[in-house]
Amino acid sequence: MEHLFEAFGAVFNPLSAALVIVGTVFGMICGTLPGVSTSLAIILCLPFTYTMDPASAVVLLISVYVGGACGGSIAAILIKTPGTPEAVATTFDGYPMARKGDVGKALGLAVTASSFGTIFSAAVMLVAAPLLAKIALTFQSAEYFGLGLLGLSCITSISAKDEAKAFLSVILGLLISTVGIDTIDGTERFTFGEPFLLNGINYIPVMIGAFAVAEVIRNIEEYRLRDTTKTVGTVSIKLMKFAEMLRMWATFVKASIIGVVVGIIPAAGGSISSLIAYGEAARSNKNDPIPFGEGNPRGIIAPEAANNAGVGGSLVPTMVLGIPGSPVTAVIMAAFIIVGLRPGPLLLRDQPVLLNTIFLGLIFSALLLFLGGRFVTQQFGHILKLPYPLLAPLIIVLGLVGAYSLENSIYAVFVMFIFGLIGYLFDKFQYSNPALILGLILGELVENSLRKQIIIADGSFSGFFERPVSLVILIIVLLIFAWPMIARLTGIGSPRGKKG
Amino acid sequence: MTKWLAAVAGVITAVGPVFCGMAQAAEYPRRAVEMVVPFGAGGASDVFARQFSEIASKYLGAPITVVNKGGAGTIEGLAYAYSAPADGYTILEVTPSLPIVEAQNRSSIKFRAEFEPIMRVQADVQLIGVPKDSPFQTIEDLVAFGKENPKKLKIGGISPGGLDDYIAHGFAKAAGFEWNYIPYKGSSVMKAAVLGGELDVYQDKLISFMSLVESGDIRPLVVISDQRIDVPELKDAPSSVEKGIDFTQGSWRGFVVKRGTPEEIKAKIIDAFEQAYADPAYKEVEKQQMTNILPGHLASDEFETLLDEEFEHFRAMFEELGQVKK
Repeated sequence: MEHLFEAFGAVFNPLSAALVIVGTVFGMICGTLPGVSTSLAIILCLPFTYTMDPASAVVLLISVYVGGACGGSIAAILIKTPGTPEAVATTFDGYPMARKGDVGKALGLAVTASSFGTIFSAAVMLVAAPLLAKIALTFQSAEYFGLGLLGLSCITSISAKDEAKAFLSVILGLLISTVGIDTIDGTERFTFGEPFLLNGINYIPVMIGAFAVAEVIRNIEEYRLRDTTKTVGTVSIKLMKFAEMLRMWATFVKASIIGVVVGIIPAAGGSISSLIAYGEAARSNKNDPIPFGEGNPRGIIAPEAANNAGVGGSLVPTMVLGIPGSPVTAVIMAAFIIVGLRPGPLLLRDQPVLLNTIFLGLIFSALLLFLGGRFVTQQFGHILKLPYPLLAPLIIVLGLVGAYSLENSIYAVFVMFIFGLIGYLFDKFQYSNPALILGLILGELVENSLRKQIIIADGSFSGFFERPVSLVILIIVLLIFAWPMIARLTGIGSPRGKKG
Repeated sequence: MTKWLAAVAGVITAVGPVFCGMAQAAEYPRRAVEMVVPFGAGGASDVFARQFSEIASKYLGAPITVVNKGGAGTIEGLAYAYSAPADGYTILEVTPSLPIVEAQNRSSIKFRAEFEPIMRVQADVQLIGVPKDSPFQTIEDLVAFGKENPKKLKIGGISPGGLDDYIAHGFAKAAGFEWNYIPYKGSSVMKAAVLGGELDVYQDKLISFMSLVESGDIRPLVVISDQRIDVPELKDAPSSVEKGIDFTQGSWRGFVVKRGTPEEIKAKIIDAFEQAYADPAYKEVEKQQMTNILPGHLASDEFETLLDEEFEHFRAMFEELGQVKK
């Protein structure tokens, strides 16, 4: 308890408070811009931390992380371009809701869910960090494989009108994920002698292409048929009412738990947890009046709560084991070392106040999301006032910068445009872009962990079934894949009145 | 007349660049210098480059901006630095990964032929250990088991065909056994695999290795070097050479510029980097990152010799492993 008071002093002194405010807003702005990932935002802050005391540095960096994890949703909702990879799933329902005119509501849902997820994960972290770190270690190759499959099983929830075509789309995504230097034996696959294909096709330019660019192409096509004189007024965020939150408590809590657990696991990041959370929300609320994919509020809450819950989750193994839980925490860990903290098992013993400082920093930053969200969305909302002929090039430029800045590579821009065209055709012929991205994001995790487990078990598959956690995950995966069929056969889940 | 004019023009075109070159050298640096890091942001090599360039820019008299070109396993950074003019405004950070890429024939740009060394700044040392509940108490136990059970012991490392792969195989070969090398995506996943029991043997560079030794999760078995490490927790860990295993490869970090960079400009960069190296602020960085254990500094000519030597080792090993592209 005394540590908490001490941490209180470390977070709520004028300097630290100012850092949290600056950090959160900066993170949100960076998160909104497709080219600036949360990792990059933190790297940009690094030089400022060199001369800070460790507590201030930590507080600044984690508030950037919280802001970034939330900010990604803003561009996802406004222009169908996920600002960060974690916000992919937010586009599924966020953009349709915004298109229907409920921009403010969509943003409000995202901010509320982000804030809830952060606070939830902070509380879990404070109470159970050492225990959770042990859970992280039970995840080895066999479990990663199960987790990847669990992510792929979302296809049963997000698949659009045509299930076969959605299935084909996910297969295509998996196939594309094999391009590049194979991660097990270093063989070059589908590179056609082109050096730029050696690292594979990154999903970020694909995602920007298939969502944002494809949407622009579609709008251009429909442009003459549409009334374009009407533009949106000032976007102001509509926060959720408490009663509303209470009604959807299950979605909030489930998504946050998924976010924390996946966040703890070193090789899985926020993009995977938000997809799994989305899939779970869609599966358990099939009978909502607004279908998923057409602006269901839970479709925004689930991924946003999950990706922000990943913040606290991924900090757990970073601090307790010195093993970063996500690419972003890897950068934070580098910063820890620079300011003289050595993350690892001894950190919590030597720096008992630190955990509390991070806890309070997270909570403070989560509450600031409401304030920051109001400010940032208002500014970015202005772009919706532009008539479409002006907005379209702006979206393309934003996407272009986003694709390029990923590795400062012009090839990523080509990839973006190619997949813009593919994404457009996918939409037109009812193939599924989300399924394609799903396959692409998860393909490497699934393939790599499958092969690694088999190598480790000397060629045997038994490891997948002998390891309890792996077995449980695989059974869940099987159930989810079979669920549509079971539901059809038994009649469970067919319309039968309203259920929360 | 026209002939005469043409001759003059010819002379001017021929000699002009020389004068320009001299003028360039005298004025260098007139603008910011770009430091190409052929790795992603946030890793050890990136953090090093950022910290070092910040100190060095003071002595160079121009800001040094760090650009990450992490694509295609360092090849993109290599290609990017190669496509810039040889004017000293582009400096490339190098680690053993670059001669390795050349040794494996992975890039059409031949690293050693196209770039010339500025200096090697630091050398890192690799250690091998086992989880605390492992039956192996000493390196002899481990090697003896490895000899009796070829390819049974599982050791991790980062990426196939990289430096970790080379070190694992090189060490085992020098000790006379073989193990099963399993590549991981990053050091964090590999650490989790060691602590979770998926791997039998752990190898890492000193700074990452230390945290697990301090916590008691890892028992250090051997320092891959010709000397022990003067840190209390590691004072009992023997060096590979004292155990008769003649293998000492570790990682290192240095800088190169494109061949053909004017000598005066090169001298200015070397001068600035040498001063940065001697700066107490940099010494502080080395202390923090624990890269001050081995003497890392090599002047440009010594660095060149080292690159050639290591290249031969890399080529021989990867040829044996069948990882040299035809």
